[in-house]
Amino acid sequence: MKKIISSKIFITVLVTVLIIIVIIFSSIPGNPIHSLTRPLSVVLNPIQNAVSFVGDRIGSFFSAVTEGMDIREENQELKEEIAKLEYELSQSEEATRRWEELKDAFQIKDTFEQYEIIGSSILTREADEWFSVIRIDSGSKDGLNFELYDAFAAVDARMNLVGRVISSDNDTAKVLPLLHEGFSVSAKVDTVNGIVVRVTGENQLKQSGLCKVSMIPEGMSLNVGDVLVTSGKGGVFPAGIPIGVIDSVHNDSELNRYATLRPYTNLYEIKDVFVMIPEPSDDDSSESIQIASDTAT
Amino acid sequence: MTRKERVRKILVYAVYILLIPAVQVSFLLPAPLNGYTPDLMLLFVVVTGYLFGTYDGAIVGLLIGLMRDYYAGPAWTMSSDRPSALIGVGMLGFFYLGVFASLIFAKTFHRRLSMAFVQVLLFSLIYKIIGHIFAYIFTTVSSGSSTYLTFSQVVFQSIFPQTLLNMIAAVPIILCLRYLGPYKSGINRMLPDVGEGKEKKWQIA
Repeated sequence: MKKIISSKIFITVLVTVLIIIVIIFSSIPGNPIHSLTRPLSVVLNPIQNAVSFVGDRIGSFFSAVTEGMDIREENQELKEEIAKLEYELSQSEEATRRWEELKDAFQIKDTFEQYEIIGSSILTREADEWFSVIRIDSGSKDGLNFELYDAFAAVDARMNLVGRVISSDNDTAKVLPLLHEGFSVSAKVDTVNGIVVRVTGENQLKQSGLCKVSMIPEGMSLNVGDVLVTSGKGGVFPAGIPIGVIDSVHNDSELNRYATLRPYTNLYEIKDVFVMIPEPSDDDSSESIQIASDTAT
Repeated sequence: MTRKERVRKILVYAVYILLIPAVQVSFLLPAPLNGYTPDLMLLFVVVTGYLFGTYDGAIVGLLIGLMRDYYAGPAWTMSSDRPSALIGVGMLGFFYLGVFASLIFAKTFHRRLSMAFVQVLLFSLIYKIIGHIFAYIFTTVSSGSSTYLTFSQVVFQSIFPQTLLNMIAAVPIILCLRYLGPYKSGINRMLPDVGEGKEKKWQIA
């Protein structure tokens, strides 16, 4: 028995079975296994941050050397631009004050007013085309709580869609990028009564930085240059988040009409994302109060 | 192996295991390379298995696989409404990479440094080919779509650039493992095929 247990084949089979159990368990949505990676986060995040910091400093040094002259000219231009922008800022502040007054007066709500926006830095990029989920430095301690919500929308600094947060531990979370073949979102053309379509990631288009637009309603058509925003259907993404523009339209076959979309955001160029966390609405709190009072009675 | 050597081995492996995945997922190469980076994790596991044997390859493979899952794991999208981030796929894949890298050709090549490049080439190809087969199967199963990359895309936009980058990046990895540790003189004397007399015969590149 002891001989069997210590044999290489037995150990290999045992390890394989254990890992397969972990894989199956982790594939169940909402599983708690991701919270078990917290000890890893504690050790790995500082190391990864240090590596990124050193890499950035080295990169900056070489950029400074090679781009020194350009930077000097750019600096002069930027100084002039700052002066111009300061003037515009003072103008904008006045306009903002007036907008706030008007908004209160007419009870206009911002599109994303019911969402708390949390800024996060991208910690890690994809390892290859299959290990392609990215990691950000916000976690359940920042409100990314998967016991309360199924997913969270991730956007860039211009509020363009980046992807969706699919799991979190205490300090970090994983984001499924827009171009990933598993990504899917209901979208609409950004016009009054714009048609509703489905945007998905696709293997073939991913390398060109494009997504597939399918489920185009019969008798309707998309045009190159049409802007798509989230439709709000499905409940994961709030309506109105810009996704991208239609790059090409394929109507060759009536059964397979599709278009390609070029997303506004380029994951390779951004370092920060913003996660939208729904704030409990008044209805929710009133419901809670109602439930509480029902329970009390 | 003395206690001092064992402690040194564990410490050096720990440094590699913590640093290599962090380096791989923290930086992107310029766009002309399709966003590909050398697969340092794969290289480390394959070269460790090749040079230092099955136990080292398996344990390093498991730990590096865990890092890969943690940093940039794959997503399971059977239900597109709620995709899950998988944990364990990297562990399983890299565990087997480490084991097979120590078994296939390692003895035939007598663990010679120059032949480590052949091993890297071979396992880069195996990893990419098996990866594409699985990706094809899972794409068809999960989304019901029959569209996958064309054969030329698989070869020229995926396998070729990745293998080329791996071959280039293998140079520092092989040299580090050989000359900086985890083993003194870059030789695991516990391996049955590496005796005191044999090392001089085979280990000099």
